Order: sequence, then structure tokens, then C-alpha cells
Amino acid sequence: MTVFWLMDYLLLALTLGCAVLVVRLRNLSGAVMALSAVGAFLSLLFVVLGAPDDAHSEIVVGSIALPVLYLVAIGKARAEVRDTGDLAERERR
Amino acid sequence: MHTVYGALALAEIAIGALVVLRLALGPTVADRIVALNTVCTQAALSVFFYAAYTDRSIYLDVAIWFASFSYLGAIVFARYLERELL
Repeated sequence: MTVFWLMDYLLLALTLGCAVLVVRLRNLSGAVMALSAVGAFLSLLFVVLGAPDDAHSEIVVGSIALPVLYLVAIGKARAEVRDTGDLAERERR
Repeated sequence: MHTVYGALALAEIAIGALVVLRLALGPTVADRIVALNTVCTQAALSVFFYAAYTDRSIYLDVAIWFASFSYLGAIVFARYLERELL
């Protein structure tokens, strides 16, 4: 039983850490890969909580399909979002 | 014996945490792709050991999906890296 709680808290911490990484990473492709890691750890959390069917759809959608969709969108837009300070200035006005 | 399997599943997740550190620090895109593929592999192994720990064979299905779809994701990421769309 203690293995269950340890895996539960470890996976929650890893999911949260990867979600913070998605926001904090400056590289866009790196952020997309951190999003894919969020999906992988979330599906692992579903397995630990005893819902393998939810884990299936989370692997396919959250870990592969959604990051690939983001990659395609970034590749088509070719957006250079580097200067967040300028962006924040524009938001403030 | 079953406790050993549980400890092994925990250890795989801990290794995954170390690989996430490389995903955060990795200077190049290739580093991050390899780190992501390794995370998915460690997750599949952890699901395998967790299925052995809980004696439920339905979890093995999730591990097979993890393995096959991490391969697919690595292929797609490598294709977009090759065409330099990132």
C-alpha cells in the first residue's frame, strides 16, 4: 500500500513539474516536448489509480496527438515568440 | 517478491524524473527528443512492473500502447526536425 502512495505522490509531482516546464521553457519545441511528458506521466497516474482505459486515450491524445498538432501548428506559423517582455508590454496597453 | 516489483516500478519513475531533468536542461532539440523517448520507455517499464505488482494483466495493454506510440512520436518529432520546421 505504501508503494501505491509513493507512486501517486511522485507522479503528481512529476506532472506538476512538467506542466511548470511547459510554461517556463523559452524554446517552443522544448515546451511541446514537456507537454508530451505531461501526457505520459498523466497516463501513468491513470494506471496507478486503476483506470487503464483512460490511460489508453491519454497516451494517444495527450502524449502523441496533441503535441504533434502543436508541432504542426508551430511549423506552419513559424512564430518567433522570444521577447516576452515586449509581449507583456503590448498586453499592458 | 511482489514488493520487489513495486519497488522496481517506483525506481523506474525515479529514473524518469532524472530524465525529465535532462529534458529541462537539454541545450539542443535532439537532446529533448531522446529524453522524451526515454521517458516513454521508462513509463512503459514502470507499467509492466506495476502490472506484475498488482497481478492485473489488463495493465500490460497500456504498456504495449506506451511502447508503440512512443516510437511513433519519436518518428514524427524526427521528421519535423529533419524538415527544419521547428
